Amino acid sequence: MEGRHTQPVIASATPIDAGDAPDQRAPRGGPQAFGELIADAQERIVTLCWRMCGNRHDAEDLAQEAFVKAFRAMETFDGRAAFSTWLYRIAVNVCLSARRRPRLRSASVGDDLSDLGAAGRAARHPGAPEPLQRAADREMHQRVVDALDTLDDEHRAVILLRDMEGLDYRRIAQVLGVRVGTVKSRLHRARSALREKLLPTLGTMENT
Amino acid sequence: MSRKDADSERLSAYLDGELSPDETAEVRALLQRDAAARRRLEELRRTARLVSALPRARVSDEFARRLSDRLERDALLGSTDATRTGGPWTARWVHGLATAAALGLIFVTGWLLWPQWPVRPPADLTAMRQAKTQPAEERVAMGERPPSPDSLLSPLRMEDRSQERTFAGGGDGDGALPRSRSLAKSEAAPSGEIVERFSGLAGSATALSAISAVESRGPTREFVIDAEGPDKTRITGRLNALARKRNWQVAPPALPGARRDALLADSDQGEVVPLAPDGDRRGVYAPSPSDLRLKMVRRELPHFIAALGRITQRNDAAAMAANESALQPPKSEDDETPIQRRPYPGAPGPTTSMPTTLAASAPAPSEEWIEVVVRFRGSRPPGPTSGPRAITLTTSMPAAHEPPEAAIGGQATTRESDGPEQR
Repeated sequence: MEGRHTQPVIASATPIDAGDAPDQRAPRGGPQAFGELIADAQERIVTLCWRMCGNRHDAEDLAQEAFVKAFRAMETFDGRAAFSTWLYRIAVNVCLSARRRPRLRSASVGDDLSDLGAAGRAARHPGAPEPLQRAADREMHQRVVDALDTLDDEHRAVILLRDMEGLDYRRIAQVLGVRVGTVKSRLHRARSALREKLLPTLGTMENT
Repeated sequence: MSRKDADSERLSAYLDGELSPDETAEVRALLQRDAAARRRLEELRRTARLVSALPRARVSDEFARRLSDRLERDALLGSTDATRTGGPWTARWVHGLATAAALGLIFVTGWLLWPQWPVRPPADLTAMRQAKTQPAEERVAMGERPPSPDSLLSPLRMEDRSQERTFAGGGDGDGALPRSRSLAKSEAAPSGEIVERFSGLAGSATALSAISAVESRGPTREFVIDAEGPDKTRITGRLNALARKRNWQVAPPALPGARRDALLADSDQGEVVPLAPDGDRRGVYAPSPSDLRLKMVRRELPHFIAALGRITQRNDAAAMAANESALQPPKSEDDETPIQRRPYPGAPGPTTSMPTTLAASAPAPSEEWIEVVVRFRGSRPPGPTSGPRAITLTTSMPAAHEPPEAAIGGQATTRESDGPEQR
C-alpha cells in the first residue's frame, strides 16, 4: 500500500519542489537566503492557509507565522523529508492551532475577487456578459468553499493537500504525521462528504 | 467497514493512482461490471476537480516585503514571541520599561525641536482622506474619475489621475463596442470593500437594456438592469414566465395596493405569491417599487444567470447569436417532470395556482434558498451622448484584524486516528 503503482487518474498540481525526495541539506543562511528559498512556496502556503482557515486575510497572517516558525526552527530541520513537506507540516499545524482560537474569523466570506479563477468553469457560459460569468464562477466557487467548511479540520487538510496541492499519500502522511492508510481513509471520507454536499453542482457540471 | 465503503475507498485511491497492480485490476473489474461504481467514481472525480479548481491566492509584493521585514527583525532582535522567549518576568519588565523610556525620549525630543508638531495634514491630503471615505460609486456619480488601485495605496498618485485611462472607458456610444470587451478592475476601497468595475459591457448603444451591476450580500444576489418602459416589461414578463417554469418563487414588492397592481400589470401577468396573509412585509423588502424579487434554491442560480444574460440582450444580434445556445439553461434529466410546487420560504400563505409541468427538479427540504433581486433603473438613451457605464460588482470584505498569536511548535498536532483508519 505504501508505493504508488499506477498513474493518478486525475491530474494534480505540481508540488512546491519537483522531487519529493528527502532533502539532506538543511537550508542555511540568513533571512535573505531563507526568503529566496521560500519564494516559490509563498503562494502555495498562503493558498493552503486560505483554504484551511476560510479567510483570505487570516491566511496571509497564518502563512507569515508559518514562515517565521520555519525560519526559527531551521536548525531542527533534519532532512528526513523534503523541505516543502516540512513547510506544509508547519503551515498545517499553524492553521489547525489557529482554528482552535475563537477570535480567528471562520466565515468563508470575503474572498478577494481578484483571486477568483477556474472554479466553477462548468457553470460558465461562453459569450455571456463578464459580470454574469464572474457571478456564476463565484457561486460555484462559494458552494465548494461552503462544503469544505463543513468538514472537520483533519478531513479538510487531507483533501486540500491531495486535490489542491497535489501531494501523494506518502507526503500527506508525513505532513499530517499519520499513516498512509489513515490518509487513504480520511481522503475517502472527505471526498464522500464533499460529494454529498455538492451533488447538485455535480449535476450541473454534467449537464454543461 | 462495509463492502460498499471498502469499494468506495478503493475507488478514491484508484482515482489517485495509489493502488497496487492487483488492487487496480480488481477495481477495473468492478468498474466493468458495476454501473453504480462507475457513477460513483465519476462523482468522486468531479468532486476532486472542483476542489482542485478553487482559486489560488496571489501573493502581493507587500506580503513578501512584510515577510522579509519580519524575518530580518526576527534575526536581528530575536523572537518577540512569548512562547519562544520564555524569559523571566523581570526581564520582560525591564524590556518593556526600556521601550517605554525610549519612546518617551523620542516624543519629548520631537516636541522640543518641532513645537508645531503634530502638524495639520496638508489640505490635499485631507481631501484625499475624505475622498477615500466616500463611497466610490458616489464619487463616480459626482463626476469624479475613480482612482486606480495604485492611487489608493499611494497618495503621490493622486495627482496623476489625469494620466490614467478612462475609468469606464471602452464605450464609444455608437454601438461599435462588442459586449465581450469588458474590462474588470478591482480596487481595495477604504471601507474594506473590494469593488470591481466592468466597463464596456453596457457601453454599446445597441443594447437597449443591460445588466449594469451584480451585487452579492449574504444570501441575496442583486442584479441591476438599465431598462425601462417596454424593455422592463419584456424582461419582467420573461423572468416571471421562467420563474413559473423553473419553480422560482416570485414575491411582490412592499407597495401600496394601487402601485402593486400597476406593477403586476407591468410585469406581464406575473404571478405573485403573498409572503404573509396581512401583506405586511416590512423589513423584508427594499422600498423600490420596481424590484422583482425571486427566491430559488441555490443550484438554480446558474440557470437564472444564464437566462438573464439571454433576456437582457435584445438588439445585439451578434451577441444574441453567440449567446443564445450557450446561455440556454442546462437541461436536467427530470425536465418536464411534474412536481409539486413548494411555497415561498417562510410564507404561511398559500401559493397561487401554477402549471404542473416544471423544468426544475423539486427542491430538497435541506437545500439552501437564496433571494434574487432584479432591480430596474432608467436606461440611458443610446447615441453619441450615452457614454460608457461603469459596471460595479461589490462584495463585502471583513475588516482587517491583528495577526493571530504565536501558535504551537513545529510538531504536528493531528492525532493518529484509530479504528478502521489504521492499517
